[in-house]
Amino acid sequence: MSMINYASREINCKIVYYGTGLGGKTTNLEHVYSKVNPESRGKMISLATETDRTLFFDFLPVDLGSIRGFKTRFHLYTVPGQVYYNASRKLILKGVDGIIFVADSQAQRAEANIESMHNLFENLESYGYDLETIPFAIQYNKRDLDNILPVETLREQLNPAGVPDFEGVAIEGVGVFETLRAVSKLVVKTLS
Amino acid sequence: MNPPGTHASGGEGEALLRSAVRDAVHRGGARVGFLLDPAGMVSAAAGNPGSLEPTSFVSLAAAQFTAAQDLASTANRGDLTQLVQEGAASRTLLASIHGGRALVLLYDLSETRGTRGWITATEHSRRTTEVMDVDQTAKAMGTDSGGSEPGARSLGDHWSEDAEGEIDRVFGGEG
Ligand SMILES: Nc1nc2c(ncn2[C@@H]2O[C@H](COP(=O)(O)OP(=O)(O)O)[C@@H](O)[C@H]2O)c(=O)[nH]1
Ligand SMILES: [Mg+2]
Repeated sequence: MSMINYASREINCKIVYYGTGLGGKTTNLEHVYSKVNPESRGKMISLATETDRTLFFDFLPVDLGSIRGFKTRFHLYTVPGQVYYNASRKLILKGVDGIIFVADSQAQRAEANIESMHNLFENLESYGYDLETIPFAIQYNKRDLDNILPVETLREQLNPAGVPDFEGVAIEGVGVFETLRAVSKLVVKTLS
Repeated sequence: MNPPGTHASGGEGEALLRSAVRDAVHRGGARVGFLLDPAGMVSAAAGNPGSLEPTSFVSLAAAQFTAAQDLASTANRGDLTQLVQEGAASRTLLASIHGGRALVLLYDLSETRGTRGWITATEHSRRTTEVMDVDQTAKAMGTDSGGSEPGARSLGDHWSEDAEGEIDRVFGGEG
């Protein structure tokens, strides 16, 4: 939940990139990092486990500047995709304001996408959050590859509710900012 | 100090916890200390953050702690109760506190020395008195983790219109 701090006149919004491992979440964040004005962004931090250096998650804070006297900041996170890191995923979802689900368009990842979407719903439910009220968008990523499913099929599988969705080629930056803008605007609308 | 994410939470128990955190910071000589509620939000803070950015520090500390707890249970090492990071010039201590809370303490080290990385502990006996005192206070309060209500959430249409303009500017992607 966005924190409006009237005492310090700050607003912090948390956006989480969710989705199956290797779908392109980190690539999305890296593109944002590389294109956002350095004065607006903080350091991109990627946390690894102490043993195998598997990435747990990435974190990138971005300042929108002062809006009508409120210093407004977005915190962008990715979650670890591996099944066994569910506790980390749940923690990162705590207090989430907006979610971007990055789907891997490749046919052989269809099941993994669906499983990850179920996992997202389960984890949100465990906090009593409702995806129908949380700002949410889907990105069908890796549209540059050959073995991909048509967008209509992906939509049927992953987007029955008809939330905003976008095609992406995150390695080339395609669709990255469109998706982020859509969710960010939904988030600030919830504060109006 | 009043870091972002701090909630006004009523109740005598919360006031007791806040003073326990203050004591832990002062007695243990920490630069800054945060108590996180089960939702990962700051429910008490003490000390002087200096150049530290509290929101990022707390988010990262909480996520790192949970990640380490995941790792410990995956490796069958039991429940992780405390995690210490020894850096060259500072030490970060993360400890689980009764009721799903977590305590984060940051210490400046007076002499510079080699980085020692992460030290994990699963036994309660390894905890410092500062951590135990905060834990005892939390236990005395029972399982109630206190109110952690988001603040009033209304800034008006003018604010969100301006915010959308800033989103187009900052997230324009034109580099
Ligand atoms: N062909 C192609 N590869 C991509 C695209 N986006 C990401 N990748 C690659 O997919 C792999 C996994 O991406 P990553 O961002 O680490 O996935 P994450 O696990 O979701 O964070 C990397 O090798 C990326 O370079 C894309 O749009 N097209
Ligand atoms: Mg990743």
